[in-house]
Amino acid sequence: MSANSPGEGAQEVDLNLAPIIDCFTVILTYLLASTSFLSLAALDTAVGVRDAATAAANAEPALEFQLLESGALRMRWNPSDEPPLEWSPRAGERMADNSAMRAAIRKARTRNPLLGEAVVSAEGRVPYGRLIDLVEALKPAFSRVILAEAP
Amino acid sequence: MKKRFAAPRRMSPSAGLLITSMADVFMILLVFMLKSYSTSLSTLTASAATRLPLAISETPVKDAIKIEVSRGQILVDQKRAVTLDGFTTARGPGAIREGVSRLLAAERSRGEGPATGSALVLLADEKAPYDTLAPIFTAAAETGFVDVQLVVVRRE
Repeated sequence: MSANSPGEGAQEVDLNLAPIIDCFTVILTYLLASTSFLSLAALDTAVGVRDAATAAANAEPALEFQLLESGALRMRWNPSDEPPLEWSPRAGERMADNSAMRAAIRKARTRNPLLGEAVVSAEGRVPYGRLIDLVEALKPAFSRVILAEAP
Repeated sequence: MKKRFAAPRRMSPSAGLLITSMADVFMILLVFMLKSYSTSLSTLTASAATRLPLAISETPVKDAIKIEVSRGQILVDQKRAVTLDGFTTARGPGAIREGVSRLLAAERSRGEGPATGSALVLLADEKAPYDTLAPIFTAAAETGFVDVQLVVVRRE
């Protein structure tokens, strides 16, 4: 008997790939159907029930931002008797690119270096997209962004 | 001169499909899909009608109770809190606050999983008005869910 020839009891094993392919197809279809190809991220914010009494009792000053239905943005100190600042971004301009807002935040920070909170609210018909635009612009400048009801 | 051509060889009718290379391709696709599946929060998907806003953020979305605001309804962990008609309800913001608050309180009372924390995940359509969202924020604050993650589509 030659050394290369199989022994008498040896069997030729052939892997049947067809059922494996079937399994792969099912798993692949399931994954394709359930996977979202959108890359999602989050903007961390806080919420709080706020009324005039709470705001007055709050010793820490905060910058309040309010989105107006006209498209303008209003900014004011709380607590403060100073008149609020108001400006309108150009059409299609992102808040993060708005130089007037950036300058106002810089000025506020010079006035109070410990300023860490921004309180954000909006008028009733302001769409969520604009709120996100504002929160995105404020996040790098403030440690905490608080969503509040419109005053 | 007469040119002689060889007769074209006929394909054997029993020519087999190359299963091995097909298995290779499937294996690569499967690995890719499994990798992208594991890096994304698989349970976090907005319904097809909800158009999430775009923003630049690198913060990953945490596992928390999910509130979804679409044109037709507000869902709290897939349970309907309020039915909307074009993002609003005739019953006013009070109904939104009440509906969301009731379901959040029920989740809180279950006291297991993400309901024990203070985080919420909000998936809202970019056109949803603040009138609809403000009562949700109030309900969240009242039930102790004070950390709200606003979910956005990452802007490249």
